[in-house]
Amino acid sequence: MSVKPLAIVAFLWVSMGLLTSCAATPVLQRGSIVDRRMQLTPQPERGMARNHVFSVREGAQGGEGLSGGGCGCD
Amino acid sequence: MRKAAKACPAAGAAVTSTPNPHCFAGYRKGLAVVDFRPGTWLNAGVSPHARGKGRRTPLKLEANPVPLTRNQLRVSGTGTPLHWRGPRGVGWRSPVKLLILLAIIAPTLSTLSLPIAAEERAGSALFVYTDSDNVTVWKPVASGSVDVGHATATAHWSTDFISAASVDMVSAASPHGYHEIRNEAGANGGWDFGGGKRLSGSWTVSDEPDFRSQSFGFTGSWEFWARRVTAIVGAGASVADVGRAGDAGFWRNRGGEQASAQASTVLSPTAVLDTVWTVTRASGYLSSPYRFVRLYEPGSNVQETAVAEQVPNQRWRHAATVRLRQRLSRAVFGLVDYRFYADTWGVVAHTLSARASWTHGVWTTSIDVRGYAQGRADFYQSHYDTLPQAPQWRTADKELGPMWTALGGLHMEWQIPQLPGMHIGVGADTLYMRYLDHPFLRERTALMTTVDLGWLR
Repeated sequence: MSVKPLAIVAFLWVSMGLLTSCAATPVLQRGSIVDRRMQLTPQPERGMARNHVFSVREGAQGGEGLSGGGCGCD
Repeated sequence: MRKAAKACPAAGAAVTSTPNPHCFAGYRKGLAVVDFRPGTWLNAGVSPHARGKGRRTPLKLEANPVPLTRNQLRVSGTGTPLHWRGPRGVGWRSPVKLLILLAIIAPTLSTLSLPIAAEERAGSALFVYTDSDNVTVWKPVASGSVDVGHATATAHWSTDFISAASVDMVSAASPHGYHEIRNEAGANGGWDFGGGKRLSGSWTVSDEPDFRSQSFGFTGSWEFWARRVTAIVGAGASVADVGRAGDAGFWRNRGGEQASAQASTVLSPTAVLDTVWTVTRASGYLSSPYRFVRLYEPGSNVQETAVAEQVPNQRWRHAATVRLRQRLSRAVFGLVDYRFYADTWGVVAHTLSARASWTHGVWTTSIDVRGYAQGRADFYQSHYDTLPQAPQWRTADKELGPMWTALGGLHMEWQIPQLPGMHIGVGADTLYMRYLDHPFLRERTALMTTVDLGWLR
């Protein structure tokens, strides 16, 4: 499998997120976004343990996302 | 007398003139949101970091300002305050916070790592995994993070107490299974440069009798387009030594590098879209030192011999995820994501997961569902009838064969009314694994239970 085409697809994939940001959301309307229930792992310790199980029990890894995945509000 | 007690604006009040600076003492990231009229000048130390240095930061507020950086007061020319917590004046000088900070920052400094943590919190959990293939893991986990001005430090620790007598072990490595302890600890530190720019670094070490690894990484993020978009890029590397129990002379090297890119976009006041791409290169000894592959004569079902598993010494892995996080109503939140995965060994996988959580009083209930399906690696066969030859690449790893999994989970959390910020939760997940082409194991069911205790500032 060639890496270069996948890298191009990956770039476009990430860029897709940028293309969707047409309207600004005022800061004071971002209260929902910073809510803990909105986060990727509301219970980090549980998420850490579950992800470890998935990485051991399945052939795929990655793509979970990086810490600080933000909302422009903190 | 603290004159601020009289001068501070009430909850929800609009501030029409320069407020008393003391009103803002002790505010941390996003805990206060106050209305100001356009053009108001705020002559106050709005950042704990600035206050800690004895400075005052004049700040001009505009009609529709770009939000301030983390650790600063969040302001706007219009709108309704989210909440108002009143003057506090605690700051980072609290002895308890200082103690936590020292405990966490020491290992961080020793590795020169720097990070990103979104909140101040501490948590611990006991995670128990048990499955129908005679594997049980007890895993206590603890983690926490603190902020001091522009700096953030986080740390985590976990230990796995593993008891296994799975078909893999019994048929290949140890007829009686094994018991093992695995320790992992990690720390990271970060710096907020303001203007939505942050840099962080992390270091993790893991140790068990037949596997030792260290990994480190750096992450940078910045916000742009009026903070509608947060872009994050990261890179890291890991080194590991792979051993074999009972064979002191067997040690092999394994390495890896990883790069990630993510864009998180605020679509609306209630929705965020994440797109993530990750590429990983693993190299070195990637086989299992315990796994043996049975070889047969062509057309025969009688095993003639068994040879050690052997897989390529390099593997590129790509994963792309798109995720939508959405507030569905005042009390209900939802998340759905899809991940596509492909690697140079020929494994292609799809993952679809969703979560819904809703709050009712002091209780929050979450439901998770997840489905996963993968195809086989190019060289995977359940039956190698190649004698008298042994194929160059061969594996009996069921995780490299065709399979699918399904998960359903429930988690309940109770906010302790007497202890603000504290919560306790219990959860259970059932993971069903179906192996479509494995000679010894067709399915497996695992139960994962969690009891967690957390504190969030």
